[in-house]
Amino acid sequence: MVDWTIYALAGLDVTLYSLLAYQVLGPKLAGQVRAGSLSEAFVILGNELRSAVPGIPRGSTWKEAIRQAQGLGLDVDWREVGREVDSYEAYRFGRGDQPAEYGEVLALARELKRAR
Amino acid sequence: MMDSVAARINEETSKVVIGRESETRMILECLLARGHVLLEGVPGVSKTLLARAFAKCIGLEFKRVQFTPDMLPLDIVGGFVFNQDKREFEFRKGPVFTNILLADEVNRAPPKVQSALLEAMQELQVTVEGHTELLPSPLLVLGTENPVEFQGIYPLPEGQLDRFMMKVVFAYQSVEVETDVLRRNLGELDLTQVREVVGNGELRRLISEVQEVYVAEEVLTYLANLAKALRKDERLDLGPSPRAMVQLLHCAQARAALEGRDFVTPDDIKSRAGPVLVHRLRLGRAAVLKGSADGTSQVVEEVLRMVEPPR
Repeated sequence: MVDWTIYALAGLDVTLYSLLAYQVLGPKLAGQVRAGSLSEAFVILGNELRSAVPGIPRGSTWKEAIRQAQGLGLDVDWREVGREVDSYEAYRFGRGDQPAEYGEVLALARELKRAR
Repeated sequence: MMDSVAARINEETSKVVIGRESETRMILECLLARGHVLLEGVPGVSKTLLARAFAKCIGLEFKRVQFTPDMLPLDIVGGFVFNQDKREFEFRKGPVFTNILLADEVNRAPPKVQSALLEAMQELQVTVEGHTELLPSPLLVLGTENPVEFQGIYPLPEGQLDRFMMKVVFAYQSVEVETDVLRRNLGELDLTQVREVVGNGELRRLISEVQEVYVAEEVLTYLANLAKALRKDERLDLGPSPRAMVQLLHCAQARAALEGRDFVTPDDIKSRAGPVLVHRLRLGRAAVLKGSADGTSQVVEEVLRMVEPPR
């Protein structure tokens, strides 16, 4: 005869542990930001800036918008963000090579998403 | 290279003028962008002293003319005088034959004198009785205006204002800076302390480097969109001229070069839009009566907030 109690307890365990895992990992997963390319990273940053910092004027440049976000007390390396924005602008408006580094820009987007 | 030039000049001018770094920077930008500057400020805010110190540290010839209501065009551009020895008329050069001309209280001279400056500022030449003389290059005209005087002045017409690349406003200093100014003035301020730190050859090379600064197509479109938005703004009677937008572009190139970049960003445009455009625009009477704008600077600020830059 099958002992249904064991199966019921196992099922309950799975449910409880899943809920626990969701509680712990959920916010981290929700705050995850991935980008496949440099331009995608900056599109994501733009969207996150608009959502997290209400009232950013339409006419803001990257530097102006980021300056406003600095008041939010986010855990990012602002100097590195500045360097990555400079490299992006050199590529976008100058004749510079496409930069490979945009990790801190994504970190900023992630922090902005969390701060919302 | 360029950023060190700005730092060297600031270091020298600050020996006699304190707390005017941004004003010095804008004057330098205008010189490198081949423009002229209108300096606005009440008397005694070191406009003349800064102009003298600036000219000295870049080793350029400097002349100052105090504009007065009884002036004649000859007093600026020069004219023909009879040479007794040679028994002929010869051209005697006026004070505009220099590299830096401080036109003090430019709005005190009658319009015919102001307009005598027009050809010089725009064409780098003067014509007297059909005789044309080329002016030294570079030529930077620094016109000063006192914003609180209304008696005995001839306001510069729009055409003349449009020839000044920037209007640099000399506001009163903060308490800390003013205290420093007072402390420094306990002794005699001596212009001989200011050394020449940029030679003529270097200056010419810098001017040509500014012209090489790259401007992306999107940035040009952004400038054109700003011009369109300002011209459509109902609060303004007069929007920016094409020359104004070209001068804004040149200023942005100079700013970029001084920051060590070989390309212009939208930030360069935005940071110089005020000083380049505000004095050229005219607020409409309706806007003044309705109080919908305090001045043209407010209109420029609002348009800059509205027009989307390339990102």
